[in-house]
Amino acid sequence: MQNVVDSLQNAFQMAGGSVGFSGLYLAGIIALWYTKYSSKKEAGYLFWYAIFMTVLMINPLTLSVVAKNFQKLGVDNYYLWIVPTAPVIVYVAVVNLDYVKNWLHRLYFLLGAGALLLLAAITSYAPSEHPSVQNDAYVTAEENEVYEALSDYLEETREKNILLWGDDAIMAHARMVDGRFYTLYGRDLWEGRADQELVQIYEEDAYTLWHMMSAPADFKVQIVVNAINRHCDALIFQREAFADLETIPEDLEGVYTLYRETKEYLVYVR
Amino acid sequence: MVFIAPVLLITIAYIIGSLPMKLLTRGDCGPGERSLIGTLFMLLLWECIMLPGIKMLASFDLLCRFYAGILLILVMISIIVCRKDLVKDIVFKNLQLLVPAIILIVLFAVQCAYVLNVYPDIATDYTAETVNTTLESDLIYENNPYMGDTFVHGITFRGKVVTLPLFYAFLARATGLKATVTVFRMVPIWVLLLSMIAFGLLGKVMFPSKEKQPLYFVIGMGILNLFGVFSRNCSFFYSMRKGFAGETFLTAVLLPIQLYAMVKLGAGKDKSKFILLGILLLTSLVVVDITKGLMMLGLSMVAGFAIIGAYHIRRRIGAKRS
Repeated sequence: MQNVVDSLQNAFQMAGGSVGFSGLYLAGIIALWYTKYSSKKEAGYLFWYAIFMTVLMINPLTLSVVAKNFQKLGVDNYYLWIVPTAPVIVYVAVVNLDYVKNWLHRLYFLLGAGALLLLAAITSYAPSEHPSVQNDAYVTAEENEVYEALSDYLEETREKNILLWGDDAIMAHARMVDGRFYTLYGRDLWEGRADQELVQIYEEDAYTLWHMMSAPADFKVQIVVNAINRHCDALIFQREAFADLETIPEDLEGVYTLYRETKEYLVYVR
Repeated sequence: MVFIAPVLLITIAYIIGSLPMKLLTRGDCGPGERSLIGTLFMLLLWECIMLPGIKMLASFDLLCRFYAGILLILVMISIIVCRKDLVKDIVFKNLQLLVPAIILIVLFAVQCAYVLNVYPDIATDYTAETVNTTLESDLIYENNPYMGDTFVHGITFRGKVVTLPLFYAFLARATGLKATVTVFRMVPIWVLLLSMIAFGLLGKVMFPSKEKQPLYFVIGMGILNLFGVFSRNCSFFYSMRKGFAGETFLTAVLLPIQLYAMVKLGAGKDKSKFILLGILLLTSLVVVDITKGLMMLGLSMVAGFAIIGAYHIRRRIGAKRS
């Protein structure tokens, strides 16, 4: 029984997005109940629609059906967005604005509403959730230096595309930055399948390659040999992979040449 | 271009949307509704071209040119047939709405500033990769977006039905913008504009014969977007941090249009809203998976029809008694 109550509470909180907004939504439904008696037919529609969708979506049966049969809907509790939280909150606020005639009272109303919204919002506030964009490639500055180096290489050699191999950060965003960057494996290899409709099954080799690149300092030679066998055009190492050497090698096995050094990476090309 | 392209898209949608609205409602609808109808038509047209193209392994570039050609023809026909209605809407008549309109513009600018400067939520998303892969390979859903090479296994047909990422690839090609700039900047601004229009329409039916309240309604939604962005897993969060996602298009654009259509049907004023509901259901297939889109919108419509039906029955019973 406690589990059922907890899951209903969580679902209600998720429907609003936070405890605060869900509380505002509940208050809004109560306000709508009174508003519909002022001959506002539209308030009546919204009230019954809100009640219907809330009861339909937030009940033990729906929660268990979604969890068992509709996993896609369960991701981020997407099925709860059909609950009309926003229209109810905003409608009630706008209707009540009508009753505030005096400009001073209107100011108090707006300040009060602002404070209430702020309180409702910061219940889930995490500063780390709002990082700034560093460039129009939407990657970190360190990664962007690598991708710019690879773009320059493509311009110089006039090749159509380039097969590259690097660490997780480089492999994860390469194709987001440029469609000419091909990779040995994608980020779904270590993150898991993001979309059930995209079926990509990796061979055991791919996992082996990924493990090697996760600890490049220990597998430098194996990485280079595998890169040669798989016809990689570019190898990107983290600088610390060569921390044990006095100088950074200018070439690897006579096949790859150091093309560019960035703050964190070494870009080798064929 | 990041700001010009969404305005251009909506303008084209407005011109194209005027044609069916003239036939269905005899021209009795505002510019907002026409823009939204036009957008839905553009997406449905895109789907009609893409699905056979996917089956025939057609060139993406060829299909884009074909689509652009059809859009151009539709725009020209609409300008010729609906020129009087188009000119009528351009004039801003009501100066009383000037202050709320300015507040709305400022709020929109703040939302855009957030969208442009804060890193989006792309943890489980591969839209930009799909756009790049489509543009580079000139094939549709044949290459793995994560790797670039052709698929060993592929995308299921159910996944291929969602052609919204391909529409973004078309926009990237048409505007010349990078995939990341198109997907993470231009498209969220476009969806924000559409969302404002959709909630404006909803505000009009929720506050009938009121001038300022619909604008206040849209302002309220914008404020909720800005405050809601602090709360993870909130639909307002998605409007600001994941505006390119099909789910956001569904909740921020399609759902308010559906609520608007249901309230209009409840008022018994416009039977053409049945057609609009049908178009919404089809468009939901374009933007997001069937369980998230068609099923949820269908459920919402069933709820709406049940409420409208209950009101009609109560009115008839009341009329019979009196």
